[in-house]
Amino acid sequence: MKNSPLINSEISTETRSTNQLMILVCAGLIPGAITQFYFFGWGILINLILCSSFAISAEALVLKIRSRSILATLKDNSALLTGLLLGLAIPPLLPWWMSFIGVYFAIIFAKHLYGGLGYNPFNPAMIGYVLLLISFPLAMTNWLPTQELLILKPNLIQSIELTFLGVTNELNNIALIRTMADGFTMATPLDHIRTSLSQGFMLSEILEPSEQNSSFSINSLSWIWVNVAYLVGGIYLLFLKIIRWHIPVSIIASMIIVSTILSIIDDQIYLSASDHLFYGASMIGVFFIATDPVSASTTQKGRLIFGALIGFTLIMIRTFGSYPDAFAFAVILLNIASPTIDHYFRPKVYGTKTTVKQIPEKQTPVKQIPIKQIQENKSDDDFKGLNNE
Amino acid sequence: MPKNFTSTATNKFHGGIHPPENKLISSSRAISKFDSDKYFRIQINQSSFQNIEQAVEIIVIKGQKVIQGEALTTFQPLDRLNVPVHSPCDGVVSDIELFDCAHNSSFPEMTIVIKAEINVDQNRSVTKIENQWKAKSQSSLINKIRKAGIVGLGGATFPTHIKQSSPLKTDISTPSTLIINAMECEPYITCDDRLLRGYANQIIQGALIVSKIVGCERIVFAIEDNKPEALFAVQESINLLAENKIDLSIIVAPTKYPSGGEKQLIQIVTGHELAKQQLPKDLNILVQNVATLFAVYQAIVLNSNLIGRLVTITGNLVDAPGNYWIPFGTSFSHIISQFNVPEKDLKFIIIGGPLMGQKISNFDISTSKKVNCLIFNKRVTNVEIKECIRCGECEAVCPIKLLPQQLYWFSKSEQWKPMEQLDLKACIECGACDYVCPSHIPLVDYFRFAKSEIKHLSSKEKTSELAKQRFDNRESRLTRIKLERKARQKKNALDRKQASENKSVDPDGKKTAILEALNRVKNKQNNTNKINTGITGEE
Repeated sequence: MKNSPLINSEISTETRSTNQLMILVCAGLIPGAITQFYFFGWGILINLILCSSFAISAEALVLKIRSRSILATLKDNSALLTGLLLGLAIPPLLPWWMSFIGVYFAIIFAKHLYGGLGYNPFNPAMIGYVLLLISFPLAMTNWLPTQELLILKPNLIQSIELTFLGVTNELNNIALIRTMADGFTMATPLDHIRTSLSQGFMLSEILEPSEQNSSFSINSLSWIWVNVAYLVGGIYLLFLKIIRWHIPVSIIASMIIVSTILSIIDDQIYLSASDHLFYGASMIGVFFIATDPVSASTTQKGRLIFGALIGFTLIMIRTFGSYPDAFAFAVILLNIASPTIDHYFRPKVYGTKTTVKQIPEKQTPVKQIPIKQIQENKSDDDFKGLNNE
Repeated sequence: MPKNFTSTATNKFHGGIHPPENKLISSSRAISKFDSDKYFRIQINQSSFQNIEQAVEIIVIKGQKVIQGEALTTFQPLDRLNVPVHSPCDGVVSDIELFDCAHNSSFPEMTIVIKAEINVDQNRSVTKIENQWKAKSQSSLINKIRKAGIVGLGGATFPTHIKQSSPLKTDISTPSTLIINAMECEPYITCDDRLLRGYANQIIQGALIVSKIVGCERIVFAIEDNKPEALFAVQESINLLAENKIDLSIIVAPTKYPSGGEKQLIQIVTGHELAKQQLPKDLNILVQNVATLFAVYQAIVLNSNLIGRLVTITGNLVDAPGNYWIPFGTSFSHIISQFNVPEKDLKFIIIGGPLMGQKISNFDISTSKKVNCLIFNKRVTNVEIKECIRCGECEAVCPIKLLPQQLYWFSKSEQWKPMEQLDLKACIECGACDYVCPSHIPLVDYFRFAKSEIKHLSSKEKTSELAKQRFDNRESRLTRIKLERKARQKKNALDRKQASENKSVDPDGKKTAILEALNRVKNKQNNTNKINTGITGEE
């Protein structure tokens, strides 16, 4: 029971509750989700619905086992948010059981085994994503190309069939759809660039719009749009003060700095800052994943360091590591570091810096006003006799 | 007097919040009459200074007749810390008993019950207006302030005479300053606002008295920008002052909670932070609340003791919210009946503001010097407490720049050491973190608990340290005695051995005795020879 008088309802309902914060973050995902849906089809919607319902059911199951109040806890919307984030991160038309494993692992292992909301050291959605990425690398790295490039566009029914059965009535499977897309299989731009670079191409050749790589430019354009949509959603979150500016700004700044230094060294091997920012999971990561307050650093200085290190790690893994995109890894690595960051980057407590110095010897001249004169007449003896007066 | 003595604050403190003010509920009504009760229950200790060794002593007995303003308790001689309480009316002491009081610990305290009666037989001294305070000595003024029972009326109830008894220094780089605290940053409370509107002249007079006592070079009147009427009243009264020997200025600060906190106010006015263990006087500053200054004026100029104060009665259950002069000792149940508060809707009263005050559900308790505001609100919704999501909003608003979220984390697992390292002690319990917490965690409750636990543990540690020291001392003493005894025994043994050796040469000591005797004779002869030769030489 709350003892503080603050509970006085007129006042405390003025601020946003945790439930509201979570649902507002979910709302911030809408522009990005719609854009992804537009470019990648029904698979996105199916993922969102599947993952969020898995997440809610997993949360309810664990709460039941832990004998906690299910409805009251579900209302905090944190499980829904985890589900949505994971649903947007995994490729469309991923087999349903993979989504199931990812979400259940995220909710049960990454969240509730640590004590539930507020106690998880890692971002649950990213733990689920990384589990899937390591366990099913092929399925997880094969994104569908953008709709425009598909010869066979799966409709809603076909998408559902593909997700749940792997085949449709027309005997199309996912692999077939992919290969029929203009002979273009490696879907995400970062992936494509990486493979091409490893084949000895120069960046100017890969990125230059031409007849050969027209499909690449169409595909990469759709990714740029997706990132712009998440940027819009993120700015909305900042504007409503649901997230603070420290983490997004520091990630973006460090991404720009690190990638610019690299591209100055060799612009034929290393991607430019703008490419890094608008390909892959950059914007959803910057605004929606790294800013998860539970697993991020909490002090203001600490958040700047946390974000800067995420940006650095992200570019390093993208450039020199063996994964084309690495937002999940970067965030999880820095989640590990955030308690230490918090420990070393505390704000200076009030009173630790003093500005007034005692003047040791020199006496400041005393103004001779009547009040002062009487002041000087006073001695300690006066006080001793106080009560006798 | 220059016209531009009003300026806007240039300094600010970290964090802070802007809760809905809810001040108009009570500030729109002028100070009105309050019908007193027949019974008053006076708590004998109403100052925040509590010391068992220097407790106040009751000087009235049951059945004794008292007059209004008569002291009910006294202070021991040479005891400079406690302040007396006075009878709010003419009447009879009808009881002296332990009773619940509005205290966080909810322990009962000694109270004196007074039944109002009209006493005609008592000789009442005629109130004379004292205009000659300027000629009085500081010590007599301080003594008078103490005798009048004045404590800090901003809610902290720290004895005013202690604050004032250390004169401001001159050996510090900052000018000695009296800051008049008229911030009143808590929502709902408007008593200082209303007091200023009605009695600005008297308050300025009170400030001049205090400035004389502590000897300061300037007076700064600090007020938030949400009280324009009060500000105007003060400007008027400063303009009225014929001559000014002292530098008097007004600082208007933007409305932000908790700007009325002493540390925050000093930061706003001077830009300086108080270091740990530092008091305002170390920065050459004295902060006084307007209600306290008004009480000082009453005590010095009107010769009247502190028997009541202006209290804000507010909330959505009160039929006539406003500010009223309410004598100390008036029971809450009387106030409830006076303002037609429907008791079935009233679960508790909030004493003080909604952020720093406390909740009282025992309505038999009476008002005291710390009660500056009573809020009677209908409880609308229950707020659910969720888990901390470490959003860091609490850190952003903390005026002390603490990490409430981490403190909460440690306090839940009762790790007091890391909490001390995070400077829990510096927490002023303003409740800003509580206010912004999206999970509605009562953070300040946790901190208060942790503070009391740490205090308890440290006192325990001290006792055990003392016990250990005593034990160590005893041990060392015992070993010392043992060693000394051994040494003595050794020495005795050696002496005995030597003696026995000597005996073997000279068994019954005859030889030495003979030798000594021979020596004596020799010496004597030598001496007589010397004398003889001396005499002959003279002849």
